[in-house]
Amino acid sequence: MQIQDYSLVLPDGRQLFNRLTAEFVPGKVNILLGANGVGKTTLLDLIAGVSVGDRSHLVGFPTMDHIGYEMQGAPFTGNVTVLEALQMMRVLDVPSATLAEADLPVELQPIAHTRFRDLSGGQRRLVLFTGVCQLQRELYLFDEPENGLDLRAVKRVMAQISCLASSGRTVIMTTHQLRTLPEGTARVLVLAGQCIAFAGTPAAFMAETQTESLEAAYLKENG
Amino acid sequence: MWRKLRTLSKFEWQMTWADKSILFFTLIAPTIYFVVAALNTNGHPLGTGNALIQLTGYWAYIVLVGVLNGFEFGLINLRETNFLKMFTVIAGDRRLIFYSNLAIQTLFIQVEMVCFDVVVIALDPTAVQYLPDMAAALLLNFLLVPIIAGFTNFFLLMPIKGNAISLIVMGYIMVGMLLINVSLPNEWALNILLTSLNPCSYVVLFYAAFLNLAHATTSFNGTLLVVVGLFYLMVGYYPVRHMRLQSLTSRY
Repeated sequence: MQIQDYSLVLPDGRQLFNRLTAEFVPGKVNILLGANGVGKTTLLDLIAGVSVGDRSHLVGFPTMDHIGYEMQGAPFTGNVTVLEALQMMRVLDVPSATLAEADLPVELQPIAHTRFRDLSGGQRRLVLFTGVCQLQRELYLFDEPENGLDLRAVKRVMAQISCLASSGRTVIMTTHQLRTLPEGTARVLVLAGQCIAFAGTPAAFMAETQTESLEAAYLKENG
Repeated sequence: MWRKLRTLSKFEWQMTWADKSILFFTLIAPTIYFVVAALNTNGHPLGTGNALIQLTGYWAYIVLVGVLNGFEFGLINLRETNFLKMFTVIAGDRRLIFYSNLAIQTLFIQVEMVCFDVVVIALDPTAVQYLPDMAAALLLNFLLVPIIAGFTNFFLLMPIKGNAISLIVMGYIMVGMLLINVSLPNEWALNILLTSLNPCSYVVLFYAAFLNLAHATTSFNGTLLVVVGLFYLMVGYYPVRHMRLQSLTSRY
């Protein structure tokens, strides 16, 4: 899965990408790092097919109906309950599936009949994360999935992402939380200066920056 | 595809039914107007002649407001809250969102029209003679609603934000309803123009031609309705393929 020679100028005239090229490892976790506003979400939107960008620069990516995408901000309708939302997402890809309250992750069971609008920001993200993971897709995109979650929930989210990759699905995620990366992270891509400044394994990233942690490597790479 | 459409339609029904405020504009507003008319006319709100023609004006309002508020405005609202983007990714195809939404709004319009017709018969018992026409109008709506959606889908491409949407839609409805009365018997060029551009005029002529009201069932009117209808069914769905999924007002 590759993005080849992609340039993008925003409506305000700012150049976001300049001949950006990136390669993602199929069946593994790929982590996209970068400072705020550098274009990580824009890239995920492009891959998911929800932006107006030119998709001719994408090679090997599946179409939208084979992609699951957890966006930032947890946009969802407020009128339905957690269980109704997750049931809908479950039945879409697995028609014979049923989903009862007892099938939900432990932390969602007490709020199964709560309407989406009454949930906290973190709960909303957790519901959507769970829903996206239920979809049977080839490629999963997660935009800062740890955002707004408590430590225990972050751990569960990272474990779930590892499970997706270990079952052969490709994951591309952005994160600012470098201490607990999902197991099976095959590639780290650092987005800086309108293109990919580094791409390689986490170990290679640390070796190149002569640091002992990803956090230190990222800080060194980004000046 | 059909299975996904059914699942999404069920979900859209839950969403739409939970927000009943939409009923105010589509059903309650014309009903209040009809009740006031009934009070002012000593129980003859439809008048003594061409009563069914009067009724088609109310139906036109329900169809147009149902399509604009429930469908166009609904999709724009989904886009501006970023739910359209999320929902499209979940569904895997933007057309599924569009068609499931249209199916549910058609059902809502039908329910609202039945409720309105019940009020009409309750206030004016002589209107019971129009029951077959009322039933026929409901069947015609299955053709009419997708055509009117085609008429008004250009809203999906307009870069309109927030409160401006409701203002523009209200203005569009008002102008459309006012233009119904501009139609003249011998001004064929004007009538063609209005039927082609004003969805309200199209709806009224559609009901009149198919229910044979005021001698409107002519081959000329039939051809006009078919040509205009086919045009909007084909061209009007271009915006569905090209509308933005991302909000114009908020990134997340």
